[in-house]
Amino acid sequence: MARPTKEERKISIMTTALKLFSKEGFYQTTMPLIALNIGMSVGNLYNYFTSKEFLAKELIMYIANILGEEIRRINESLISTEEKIAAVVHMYFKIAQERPETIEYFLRVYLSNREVFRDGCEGMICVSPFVTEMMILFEEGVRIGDLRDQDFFSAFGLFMGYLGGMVFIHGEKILPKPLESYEASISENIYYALKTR
Amino acid sequence: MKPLSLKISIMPSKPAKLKIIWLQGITCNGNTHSFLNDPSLGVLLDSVEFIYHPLLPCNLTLQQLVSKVPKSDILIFEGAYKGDFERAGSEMEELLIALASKTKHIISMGSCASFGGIFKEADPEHISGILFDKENERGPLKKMREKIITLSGCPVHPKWLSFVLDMIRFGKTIAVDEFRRPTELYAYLVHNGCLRNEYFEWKVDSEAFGTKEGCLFYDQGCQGPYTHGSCNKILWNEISSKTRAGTPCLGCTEPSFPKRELFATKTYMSIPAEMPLGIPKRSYLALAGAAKSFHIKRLEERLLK
Amino acid sequence: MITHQLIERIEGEAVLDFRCDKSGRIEEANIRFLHFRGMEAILEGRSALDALVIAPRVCGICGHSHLIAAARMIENAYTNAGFTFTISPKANAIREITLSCELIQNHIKWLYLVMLHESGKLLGEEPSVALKALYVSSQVNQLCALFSGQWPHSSYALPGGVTCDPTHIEVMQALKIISEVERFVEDEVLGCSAKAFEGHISSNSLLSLGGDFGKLLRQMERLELLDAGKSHGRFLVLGDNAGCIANGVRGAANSALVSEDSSQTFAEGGDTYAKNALYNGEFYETGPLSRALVTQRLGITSLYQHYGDGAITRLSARVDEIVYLISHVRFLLSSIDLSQSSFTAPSAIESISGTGVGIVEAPRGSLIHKARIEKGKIAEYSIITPTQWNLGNGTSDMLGVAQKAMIGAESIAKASLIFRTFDVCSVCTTH
Repeated sequence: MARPTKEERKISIMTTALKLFSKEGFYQTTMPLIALNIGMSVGNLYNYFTSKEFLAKELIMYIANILGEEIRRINESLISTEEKIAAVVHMYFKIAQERPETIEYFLRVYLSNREVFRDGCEGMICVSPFVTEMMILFEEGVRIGDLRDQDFFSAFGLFMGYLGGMVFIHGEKILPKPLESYEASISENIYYALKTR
Repeated sequence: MKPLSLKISIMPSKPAKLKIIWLQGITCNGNTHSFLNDPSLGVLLDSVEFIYHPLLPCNLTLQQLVSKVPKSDILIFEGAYKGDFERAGSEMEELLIALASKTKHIISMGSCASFGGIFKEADPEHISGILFDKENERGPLKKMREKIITLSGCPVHPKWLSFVLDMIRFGKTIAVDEFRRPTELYAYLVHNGCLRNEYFEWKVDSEAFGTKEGCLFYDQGCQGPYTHGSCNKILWNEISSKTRAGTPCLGCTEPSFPKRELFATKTYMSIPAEMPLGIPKRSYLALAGAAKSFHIKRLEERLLK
Repeated sequence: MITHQLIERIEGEAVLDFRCDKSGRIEEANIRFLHFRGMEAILEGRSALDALVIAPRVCGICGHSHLIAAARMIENAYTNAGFTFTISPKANAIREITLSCELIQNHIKWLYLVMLHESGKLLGEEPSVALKALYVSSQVNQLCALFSGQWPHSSYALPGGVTCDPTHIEVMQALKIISEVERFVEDEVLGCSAKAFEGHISSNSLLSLGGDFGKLLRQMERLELLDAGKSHGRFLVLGDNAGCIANGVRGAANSALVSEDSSQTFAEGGDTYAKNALYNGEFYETGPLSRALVTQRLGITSLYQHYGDGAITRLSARVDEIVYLISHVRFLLSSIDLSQSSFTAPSAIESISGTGVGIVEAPRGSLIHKARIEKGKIAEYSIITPTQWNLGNGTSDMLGVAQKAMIGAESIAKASLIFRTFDVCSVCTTH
């Protein structure tokens, strides 16, 4: 087996760290714990990430990129705004189930420990690829007359708060039915809330 | 050191003055008065001569102009075109075409002459510019396009005109854009050189009119980032510009002038409907989002405390 | 026989139809304007704020007055709709400064490009370009642009104030320019100090003035026109310092008495595009002479007592207004408090329904903008320009102001020159 490249090694550290952070929380997850789970020395881990905070920031940018890429694909497909909204909901729930640590990290680490991200992740910088695509989804929806013109954050908050809330309840195992069975009604609710009247 | 007489002998003999006719269509005279603001008018008048001008002393009266239809080096046309619009009893349909075919260069002076401008709004079907009708090339002087120079703007800056007159006088080729505007004047955007550029870079909105601070692009309708013109390079009245006086750029050099709702930025879900010229929306939003995330104290405070 | 005379160099053209007696003396004069652009229709349907961009384009020489009139009209609509908002003394002063600049440059251009030029031509002089006058006009416009960003066609006045936020740099530059303009007026126009000019007016020795204005008066004297051009002696000011004078009695002016008469227009079978503006059903003169008399400016008032509203008084009033405005602008610049706000944002324009009226004393007199606004959009717009007062085309039993002034003139050429003493603007008259 070929020796992994530095970049591959980095990704595997991030994958492990993501799981640990989202399960244990930011403060419980220490660099030695991460090193232990990967099977590398703590010293070597620092060769890849100079601090836990730096690793945490890299992770949120990694997630924002993944989500941004997914939504960009949806934005660029020739479907109606209603279908795009459904596709985003589907994609989000799919990631929440297949790679729950991704969404969990966003909710439990990034949003809950803002002090960690104060320096270098001001405002929406570290989640910019994702927010930019949401802007484009909304802007184009309004431009072609599908969506109602309003403040961006009113729409963004409704959309993401709703999805985040559902994933949270799902994670708490409160939902009586599987997450994907809510997709259609949630997509419809979001579309109806945002569409032109 | 060469003797003085030799120096004089190698200088070209004084060229004849360029003969200019300044004809008006449907106009407010704004370009005429803007032209009179040129502080170097005296020097300009040493090299050009007005056969007819609506305000300055000239050889011919309007009636004589209309009956003689003289030849000229340059025809300057100010105002919008309408075929049956008359000057001294002569319809533009005939007068403009006749004067245009007997001149070497035509300058379309102002946005009315260039695209139809404000006065086109009164009768959009019959009023246009001389070469363009809004952005479509279907004006009455279509066949003479090669000798037309478009100077759009409401009004035209006097130095833009004197630049073109000088270029013609010195026999230089004037590079033009798709609307036949000199690129050296119109490749710039009104945004270039705006004193509020740093506020644009860091996405600090001007919260209200009447302040030195903040960018007018986000709320106040400024069209500077997508309007061609050197307003902030060659300053107005030698000293200022709309944006320097806190007024949004109104896009007056473009075929689309005048748009509607001129003091508000059209947005879709808070995102400007029109992007800075040539900037992809995705790139703009990514940069804008990042810039907005920083709170820069210096830019959020009053400039002068 | 009717002679049609095309009058040029008046921001477009007018046609004067003269009927003369055998000696050539004017018995009848009709004033016609043959261009019409439909400004009011262009404004209708737009956002009321768009008027601040469209309205200045009524006229290249007095567009700034149209801007201020439109801004005041919208402000008045806010007030009528029950909204109160304040405009800082600073914003008001800045508007007054820029508006005064427009008047000054207009009067200088009129004096040199129109009056000296035309009276000289009548006396067989070869006219030259009045470069010094154009240069100083460009300086006045530069002073204006220090606050308005540009002249012509600024849109810097908005309901609630002005867009600029000047520093002492602009104010100091403006003071320098106004001193330069004053020097030009004293050295070139008057040939004496402003104070001495006042003395010339009150001692009735204007003809001995040394400057270009003295030259104009002497040319008018050679043409035997100093005393000509008398009209109704009715004067009206509807803008700031409003008032009216009729039958020698000065009183308050009430804009509700203004009406428009379109009986002479093409639309009603006539032969002009211009509508007449009437006050209390009659023709009144507006402009510098009216302003001087209504505000009882000393010199012009005494000149009027001597000569009535003949050419010498009308011409002197316009030149005297330059002198007055220079000191007024200096006063405003010196007393401006830059710490005040430039702009107080009113409620959204969409919340406004109702009518508004904005009146401004423009270079040629009282300018009225009136509109009906529905949810921030212009439903109806109506503009009455100063030249509609002065250049009205009446009937033989009710003559317009300039019409009456021309009747009795010895020739068509002289009548045409009298016509120009009113400072004619073609584009404004019909808009």
